[in-house]
This record gives sequence, structure tokens and C-alpha cells, in this order.
Amino acid sequence: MEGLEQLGTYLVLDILPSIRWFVPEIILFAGFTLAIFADLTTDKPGATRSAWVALGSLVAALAATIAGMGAALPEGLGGLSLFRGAVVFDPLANFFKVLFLVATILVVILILRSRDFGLRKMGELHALLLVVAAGLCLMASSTHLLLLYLSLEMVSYVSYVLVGYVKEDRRASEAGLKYVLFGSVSSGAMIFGLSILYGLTGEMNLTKIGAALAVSPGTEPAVLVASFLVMAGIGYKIAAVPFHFWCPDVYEGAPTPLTAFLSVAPKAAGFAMLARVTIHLFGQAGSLLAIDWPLVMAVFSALTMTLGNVIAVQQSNVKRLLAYSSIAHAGYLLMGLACVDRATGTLSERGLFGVLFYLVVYLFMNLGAFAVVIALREKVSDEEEIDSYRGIGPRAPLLGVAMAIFLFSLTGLPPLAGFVGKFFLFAAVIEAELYWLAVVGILNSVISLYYYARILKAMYLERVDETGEAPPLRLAPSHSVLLVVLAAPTVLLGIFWAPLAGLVQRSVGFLF
Amino acid sequence: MTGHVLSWTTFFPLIGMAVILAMPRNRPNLIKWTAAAASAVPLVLSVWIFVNFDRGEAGLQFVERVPWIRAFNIEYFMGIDGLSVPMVILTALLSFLCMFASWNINKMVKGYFALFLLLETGMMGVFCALDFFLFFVFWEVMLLPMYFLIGIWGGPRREYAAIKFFLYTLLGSVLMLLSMIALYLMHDPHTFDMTRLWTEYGVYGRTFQLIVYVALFIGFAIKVPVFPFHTWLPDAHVEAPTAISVILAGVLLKMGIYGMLRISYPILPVATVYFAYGLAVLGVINILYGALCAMAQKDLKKLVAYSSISHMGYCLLGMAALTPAGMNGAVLQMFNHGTTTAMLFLLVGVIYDRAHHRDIEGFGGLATQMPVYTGIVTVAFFASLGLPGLSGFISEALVFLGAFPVFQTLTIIAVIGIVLTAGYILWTLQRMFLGTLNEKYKSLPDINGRELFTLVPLAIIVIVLGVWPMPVLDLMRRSLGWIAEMAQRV
Repeated sequence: MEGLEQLGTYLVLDILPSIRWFVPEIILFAGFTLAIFADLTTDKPGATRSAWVALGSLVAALAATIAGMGAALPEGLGGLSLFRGAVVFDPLANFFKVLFLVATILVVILILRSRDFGLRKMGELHALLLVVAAGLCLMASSTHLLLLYLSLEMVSYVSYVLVGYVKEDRRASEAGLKYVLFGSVSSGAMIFGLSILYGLTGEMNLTKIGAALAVSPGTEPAVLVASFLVMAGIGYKIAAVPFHFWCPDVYEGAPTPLTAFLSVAPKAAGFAMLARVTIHLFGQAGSLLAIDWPLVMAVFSALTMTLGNVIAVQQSNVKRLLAYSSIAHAGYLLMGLACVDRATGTLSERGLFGVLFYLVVYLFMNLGAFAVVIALREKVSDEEEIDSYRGIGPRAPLLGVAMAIFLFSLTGLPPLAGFVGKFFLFAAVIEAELYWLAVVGILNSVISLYYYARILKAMYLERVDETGEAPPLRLAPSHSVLLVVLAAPTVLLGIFWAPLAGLVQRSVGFLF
Repeated sequence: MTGHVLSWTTFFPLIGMAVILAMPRNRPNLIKWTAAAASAVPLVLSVWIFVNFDRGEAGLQFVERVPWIRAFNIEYFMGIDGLSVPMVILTALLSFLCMFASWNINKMVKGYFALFLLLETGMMGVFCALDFFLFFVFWEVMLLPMYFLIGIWGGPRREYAAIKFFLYTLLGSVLMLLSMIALYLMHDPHTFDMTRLWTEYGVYGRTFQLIVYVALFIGFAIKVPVFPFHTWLPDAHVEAPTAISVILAGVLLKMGIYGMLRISYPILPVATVYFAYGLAVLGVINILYGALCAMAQKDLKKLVAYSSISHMGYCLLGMAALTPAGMNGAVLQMFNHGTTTAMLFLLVGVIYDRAHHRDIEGFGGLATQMPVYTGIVTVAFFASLGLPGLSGFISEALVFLGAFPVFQTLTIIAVIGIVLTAGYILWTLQRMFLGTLNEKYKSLPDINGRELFTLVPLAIIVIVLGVWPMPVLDLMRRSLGWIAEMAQRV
């Protein structure tokens, strides 16, 4: 163990002592190997052995993360800097790890219930999901330029494969290819940006870069270019305008459970990374104020939500609609990162709080909406057109009510969780005095109601035949349970959210 | 139970909804009776409130407060004063009667009554909540059932009407959300407690007050609806099923006025005085424009819908005057309009169920065929045009009395509204009930017992309050005096 270094309140650990704090990731890598072997031991098509291995290791990793959160750190210490400053172990990273692991567990369950994959062998898919989960955890905790880039690529490469996993499906293959093309351009831009930062400062650690930039005047133009390039890489992950072009095609073409996954987990990881870059790079008091980065972020946010919502209105395919809606939600989330505490000039605590809170809520409601799409694909038709949902509501009451809950929560109506999330984001924006952004945000909420309500309109207001009662749709029990599991937090967090707010507060509080 | 009377009144319908959801869908009558019972309890409780309410007290009564989310100072804070009591009674009464007006719903019965009860909880909550956050939650909770109630059980253009209603109201409420956050953050310490916001209004600067007032006003004005935010109303009212039109016109429209009196007036006194004249002008526009539009309608239900716009104008004019008579007149008008317009929509429903159209010109001479129906229509119509001896007269007279010293010219212009109202109402009466009977309707049955059951209580209230309005005026006088005082502290 070395002493405290110039890394804020992080204690830098050497390699061997670090391993103790790296258990969740190690479990995931072990699970990856195990899942492949589990699949090799059987020839039966549609075997679920690897899924159980994946679930087991994800749950174990989750338990390890939660145990790690409970571990007491020395007084006054924000976190640990593992492997000599490559990865951090702090409440923020742990919060995101829990989020990713829960999301991945839910997606593995969705895959078990999905028809998208037919009877193909699933071992690789589950193994790869474990790799993505590990990559996401690294994304949320890296503070080192190289690892930042490598973890992003780790997630990206595996995602390309996952999207194109069903090789026979032309839509999926096309989506996979598009994803690769856009992805490589963005990550190329990003590494160029990172190299500029390195060139300017000679440092690889974000905090040290921030500190070095703060004392080197005249570098603003270069830093601005570098920031834009880095933003291209991250913006691509969170599907922010103008780096969103891949998003609708990929979401539409990918197997639905993976679309659900992509719309939640890597997006959340992108936000984790963006938050960290913002805090460390621009977080030094008084640094780089020549660049009005909050304004830049606010403009990104406004563009992203407006474009996402306006285009979503015109969609007739539910998956595509949800793709644009997820772009719009990236815009709402960006609002939180545009908020500055005017006393210190750094990212505002309330803003980051809003982002984290919203991500949790978004996880449940967005996965929920996709779970409904998956359930209906099994029952109704292979096309996810809005029209094919006509009259479903009365035929499948539980599914209909669940979808109404998810969509109204996405709109941000009380008493659902989405409202509380938006409430915190808007509160942050108003506190930061970005009134114009707040107005853009609420107008967007109104627009979003229109297209979410279109789905509900098809499900409830339109009937295929007005006279006869259509036969009820029977859902598989496991599917009903899954819908309830996702709908329950969406409702409960809208009525009583104090525990979650407490957790989020603990996860961000140490930074401010 | 008496310690938590407001919670029981608000949430009992929700219990009823849960019970209904657990029932088998093939027992429609059981569901209907359960719904009626679930809405009878709030009615009984509101009568209890009416009896036990201390009329000499301006402040809040039956208060309940429990911390909800401590970290953000959000409370479950319920309480009523003289402004809320009439609204609570109106809501309970109309909800109960509307259960019976919905008896012939036979499409997805379970869903309809479950949503209706959820709606009742939302409405009650709005009138009882004293924590701004809680108020907003109830306010929005009403939207969801309303969308489906109009959209599934409405008329031919129900889908359009439902989404239009939803979008308009949501636009208003998001502006309210921003204002709420601003009021919360600018207050130190941060609080949503309305009673504290009322008394500590001094923390808000003038410009801030003006901006927040306008944002809140748009939210409330859409609900009232104030010209030019009214265009959702004719669509929604016409397409909604009868009982829902009654609730929309009888209760939901009142929420806009209620919100202004509860929130804007006491919290933003500077802006209230600043915008009083503008509010009065909008009120007069509402009165005249609504009446003129009503006169031009061929569809009876649309006529009633536009007449609501006109009648809500009186409330705006009265409250803008900030005089005791004007304020009392405005709130009494809210209550009276609630009962008369409910009657009118119920009566439109009665004739529509029989003739399957609402075209005024298509009737004629109904007086001989449906004498009882005609009698009740006459009471409702005359109450609506403000005939002395019926409830509408008292409140309109009070409004004019209160407004005249403050806005003389405007009040004189507004009186034209009375003439126009008399015009369209008498003309409609003549076209539908006098003259020769249309051959088609030779065998039209008169009003039946169930329909009478929904109408007679309202007719009694209309007549009694026309002669002796004190029961309602006594309830609210003290609290309205206080609000008027609060609004003129500058």
C-alpha cells in the first residue's frame, strides 16, 4: 500500500492489494469461461445450461459488489485507486456496477423468454453478455485514458457481435454492420481526442490531466477540440445527437432482448464515463472556464431530446419508436450534466444526483416496455408495428396495464417513477438557472406523450372488430412475473423513493 | 375514522377500485353496485364534513400531516377550508350520481368503474392537498383515467378528443411543475408546504412572481378553460360519455379556478394585483365568446359545453375584482355551475339515449311527449340563464355586485352575456320542446326512475340555493375573505 497521492481523496493501491477490491469483475471473467464450457458439454439445441451459469455468475458478482459497498473505507477517503491509478473503487462506480449487473440479469431472463433466437446454441451469447457486463463495470470505474478507451471498445466489440448474433436474420446482420461502421469512426475520433489530452499534459490519469490543464493557460482551443472528439466516442455510446445515426437501425434490427439491453446498460455506462470525465477534467475549481462546457452540454441535451422526440412521433414500428424515445431520454439525462454549481464552477451535485436517479428508474421502465414487446412478439406477430397491437389491452389485462405504467412513466406522469426522475432533473436545471433548457425539456415531455399514447391508443382505444369479444391472450406465467417485477418498482419508486434517493446521495455525495 | 376523514374521503374510492379489479368480469351488476357503494362513502363523509365544519373559522380544518419524503420536505398534508369544502361536497355528490348515470355502460364494465373511482380519488385529493407536491400528484393522477374514459367509452371522435384533452392538460401541468420547482427552490428552507408559502411570500421578488404567475396561470387557464386555451373543451365534452362530461364540466373545470385561488392568489400577491385587470378582461371575453359560440351550435351537447365556457367567465370576473362579494360570487358560481351543468349534461344524455342524436333542430314539441323531462330541463335551463329564484341568479348577481365598483366598463359589457345566455337558452327551449311534435318521436318514453334519481337531488339543490344560498355562503365566507386579504398584501 502506498500513501495518499495527488488524486483527491483516493488512496492509491498497488497491484496485489487491489485484487481484493476487484472481485466482481473477476467473477464475471470466470463466469465467461465457465459459460463456454457449460455449453460445450451439451449438444441439445435450445439448452439453457449456459444461461444458468451466466445468471449464477451475475448474481455472485452482484453480491460481491454489494458486499464491497458495505466495506468501510478509512475516514475521509472517497475511494480507492486500484492497480496504481487505473481503476477506481468508489461509491459512484459501485452504484453503476449494481445497475449494470441488475440490467444484465434482467436481460438474461428476457433472453430465456424470447423467441428471437429460435433453437440456436446460446452458449456464446451468454458468455459474451458476461464480458459486456465486465466491460461496463470497467467503463464506470476507469480514470485512466488507456483503460477508458479499452473498456469502451470491450463493450463495443462485444455489442457488435451480439447485435448480429442471429446470422440468418438479414435485418440483424445489417444492423450489426452499421453498428461496426459507426462505432469504429466514433472510437477512432475518441482515441484521437484522448491522444491530444495526453500530448498536452503528458499524463494518463484524468485527475492529473485536469490538474495539469488548470495551470497551463492557452490550451483552451486544443482542449475544446479534444473534448469534442472524446464526446464523439461517449456520445455514440449514449446515442446523443449527432452521434445517434446507428441507433434506430440497430435497435430495430437487433434481437429485442439485446435492443433492451443496449438501450439501458451501455447508455448508463456512457453516462458514468461522461460524468467522470466532466468531473475530473472540468471539475478543478476555476479551470477551463474559458470554455463554456455547461452550455455545450445543454445544447447537446436540447438537440438530442428534441430530435429524438420529433422523429419518434413519425414512427410506426414500436422498436424504432422506442429507439428514438431512448435517444430522447439521453437528452433528458444530459440536462443533469449541464448543471453547474455556480458557487464552485463544477458539475452540480443535484445534477449528477438527478442523472443517477433517472438511470435507475429508466432501467425499469424501459426494460419493461421492451419486455412487453417481447411478450407480444411471441403472441401476436413477428412485425412490431403499432397497428398489430390493436385491441390487445382488453385481451391481456396484465400486459396492457403494465405497458400503460411503463409508457406513462416514460412520459413522466405522477405517481410513477419516471415523474420523480424528471422532477429531480428539472429541479437541477432550474437551480442551475438554465431556464430555457427547462422549457425545452417540458415541451419535449408533452411531445413524448403523443407518441407513447399512440401505442396505448392502439392497445385500448382501437378495436380490430367492434362487436365480438376477442379471445383473451394468455401469457406464460414467467412472463407475467417478469412484467410485475419490472412494473412494481416503476410504481413504488413513484410513491416512495426515499431509500433510492438515499443510495444515490451516498453514491455522489463523496465527490462534492 | 373522524380523525382521518379527508384521507378516507379521498382514498375510499381507491379501495373500491381494488375490490372491483378483483371481481370477475362477467358480473357487471355486482361491479356497478360496488362502485356505487364505494362512491357513497365519500358522499356520506362529505355530508359529515358539511355538518361539522366550523363556519366561524377562516383557517384549515380536519388537518392531517405526515412526513412523506423527509429529505425533500415533502409531506402528506391534507386539510380543508371554506374554499375546499364546497368543492369536496360537489365532487362527492356528482361522483355518486354519475355512477348511476353510467348504469347503461356495458362495454368493459370493470375497467370503466375502476377508472372512474381512480378519477374520484384524484379529484378529491386535489381539493384536499395542502402540499404543493401532493397537489400536483393528485392533479396528474386525474389525467390518466380521464384519457381512457374519454378514449374508450366516448363518441365517434373519441380518440382525437382524448389525446387532445390529454396533451393540452399535460402542457398546462408541466408549466405548473416548473413553477412548483421554482417556488420550492427559491424558498429557504425548501418547502412545498402551501401554508408556509402563503405566509412567507416575501421571499419572492417581483419579476419572479410575475413569471411564475403567468406559468401557473397557463396551467390553470387550460383547465378552466380561459379563452384562448379552450379549444379542447368542446371536443372532450362532446365525445365523452354522459357521466364523464358531467365530471369534466362539474368538477374538473373548477380546478383551474380553485388552483388560482389556492396557489396563485396567496403566494403571488404582487402578480395577482398586477394581472387582476387582465384576468377580468379574459373573464368578460369568456362570458361573451362562450355565449356567442353556444348560440351558434346545432348540437345540444356542444351548446352546453360552450355555455360552460361562458359561465366560467363569471368566476374569473368575480375573483379578479378581489372584493368579498366578487370572491364569494365566484366560488358560489363554481358550485352552482357544477350542479346546473351536471343536470344539463345528464339531460342531454337522457335524450341521446332515446333519440340517438343531439341535433337541436331534429326535435320539436317534446313537451307533450315527455312532460316530466321537459319540466326538469326547464329548471336546469332557467338556473343556467340566471333566473331569480334559482341558484345561478344569486352567484351571478354577487359577481356583478362585486365587480362593478372595480371594473365598471367591463362589468357593463359582461352583463350583455346574460342577455345572450337567455337568448340561446330560450331559443333552444323553443326549438326542442315547443311547436309540433316530430312524427318520429311519437313513442319516445319519458324519463325513467334511475334518471330521475340522478337529476332530482341536483334540482332540489338548485332551487334551495336559489332561495336560501346561505348554507354554502356561510361555509366559504371566512376563508374567502382571508384569501382576498392575502392577495392584497402588497
